[in-house]
Amino acid sequence: MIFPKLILKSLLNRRSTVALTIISIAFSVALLLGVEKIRQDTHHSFSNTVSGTDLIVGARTGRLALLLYSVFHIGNASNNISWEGYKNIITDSSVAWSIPISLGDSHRGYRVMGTNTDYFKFYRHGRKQLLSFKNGRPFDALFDVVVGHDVAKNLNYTVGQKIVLSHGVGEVSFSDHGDKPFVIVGIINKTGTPVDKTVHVSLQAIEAIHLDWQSGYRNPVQAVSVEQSLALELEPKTITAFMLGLNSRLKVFTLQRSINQYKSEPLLAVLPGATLQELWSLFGLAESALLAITGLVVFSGLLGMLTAILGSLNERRRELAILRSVGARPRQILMMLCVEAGLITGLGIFVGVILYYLAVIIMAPIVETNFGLTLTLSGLSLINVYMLLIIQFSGILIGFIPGFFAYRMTLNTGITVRL
Amino acid sequence: MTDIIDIQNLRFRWPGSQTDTLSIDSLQIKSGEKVFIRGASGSGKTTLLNILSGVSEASSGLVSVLGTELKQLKSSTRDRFRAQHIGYIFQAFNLIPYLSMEENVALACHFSKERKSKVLAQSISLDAEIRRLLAHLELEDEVLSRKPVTELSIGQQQRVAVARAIIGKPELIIADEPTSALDSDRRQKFIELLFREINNSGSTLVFVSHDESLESLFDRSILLSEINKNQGEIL
Repeated sequence: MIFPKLILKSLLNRRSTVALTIISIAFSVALLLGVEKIRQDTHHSFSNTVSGTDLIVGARTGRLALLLYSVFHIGNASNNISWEGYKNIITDSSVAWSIPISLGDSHRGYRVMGTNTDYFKFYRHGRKQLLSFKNGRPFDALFDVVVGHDVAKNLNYTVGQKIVLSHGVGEVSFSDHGDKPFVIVGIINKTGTPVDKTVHVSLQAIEAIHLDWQSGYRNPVQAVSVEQSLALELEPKTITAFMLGLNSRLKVFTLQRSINQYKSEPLLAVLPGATLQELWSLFGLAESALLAITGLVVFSGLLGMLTAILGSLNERRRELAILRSVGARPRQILMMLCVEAGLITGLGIFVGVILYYLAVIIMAPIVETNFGLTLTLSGLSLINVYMLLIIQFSGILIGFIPGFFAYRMTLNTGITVRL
Repeated sequence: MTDIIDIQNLRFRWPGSQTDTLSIDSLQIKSGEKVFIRGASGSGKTTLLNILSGVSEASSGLVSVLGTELKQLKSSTRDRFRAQHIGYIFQAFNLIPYLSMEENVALACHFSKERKSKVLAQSISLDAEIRRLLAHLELEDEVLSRKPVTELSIGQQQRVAVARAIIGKPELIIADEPTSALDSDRRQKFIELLFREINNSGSTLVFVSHDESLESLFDRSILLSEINKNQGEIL
């Protein structure tokens, strides 16, 4: 068969136009894959964070708001819940474990989370993995602190170092808990969840640093020293929220109902997975819009190819007439142009995929530091493959347009082309 | 001698047109003849060549080439028929710019197995035959064969076209004003080379031109305006 050679040589003959067309398709393909990647990895990172938790309980507020501030540390709690309420609810027979969460302080822009050691025993992320330590151990003494992977990495912290927490959650705080420094006793391995950006202390520590605080500022008259606070029997009065793990998933709805109807104070229990779905439906519109725009970019890439091939047809009238004169059939010429379009699209997709992986490799650290999103290097998903197949198919289909023009040209003007 | 081309009551009319573009009652060309068809542009020349080569189809009448009535063939069979039996030389730009000289000549054999096997019956390989032909046409230069065909002179390009038309010895060679882009010295030389090759292959030549000065070189000359009764109404 002479056609493969003809097509290749013909494409090579127009290599600059063809290369530009391939690049424009490649960029659009890389963009499409990238947008899809970010979408999937965002979903992933969110659902990874709550993979092992059955219920999240906090003061009554919006379901989404509770999930976002308690687990993802986005926004702030409108209200706290009482320690008694927490104690009371976890006595329910269906509760397997609970993790109290107390938020409100920060350390150099990172959230401080007060909890207890159950956190290290029961909190699961990703594929139901427990937290593991890169260095050190869980907190034990009152002024022990365990930091997440990113905190240690970005602030260059090592086990044994002393740090000071700040009141409030701003990036820069003017009210430090400078009188009660903490010692880093542990650094948690990377999880790809908000844990990486969290400073963990015990609930008692949260109480201790606020002993001499009243209405948001420190009262020096009632100052409590480190030694004094160590001697005290500290019990938290309030916490921000808590996570629950149940013995049986079947009891989730029963317990959720009873918490939501809790008499002593207004509580709200949410199912993290279901609430995330609400988040996605909220994001859905923006995501579809983004995907649609990217789709249009791909389409315009293919249109660029159409323009390039159609543009080349005029100067190729001769070429087609010569092929006709030696016996090429109009149908073969149609096929030749379709294959040409298919080949350009295929190469565009191939280069696009390479471009996409290069971008993921290069961009991953930047995206991670700036947006806290971990881009994982993974194979193409089935959806990706479908997308690429659709693009490939459209490319071949678009080839029929110049193909048809050429077909008509060879049929109508015949062999003799007017010069 | 048998007729290689036999045309009777040929009528050709473009779809939607009121008048015939071509109307030839009778035209016969004998096998081995070198026929000069003289016609100004617009005399139906283009249409006649399209019909003879089987690209266009007559609206009515009989057109038979090599004893085969073209109308009886399916269009794809006509394409194969052309590949096998007809060599075609254009006015200019005969070569595909991205193929080498040799590849351009070989093109004719890629669309017809019969023509290729004819070549192989006489020569050791296709390449050898191409080289022999090109040498015969004074194109054997090493430097030439490495040049892109677009850098060849027009005369050289036309000679490559002759090689492509003649390879595998098709029965009919159609030349559509192949000399019009050449100056008069080269025109004479080109015709000589063409004739030599035609004589070698024993093909029939249908040579179309408006250049009367060449007329005397041919066995027979036909004035298209005399046989085409509708030529005045085309423009």
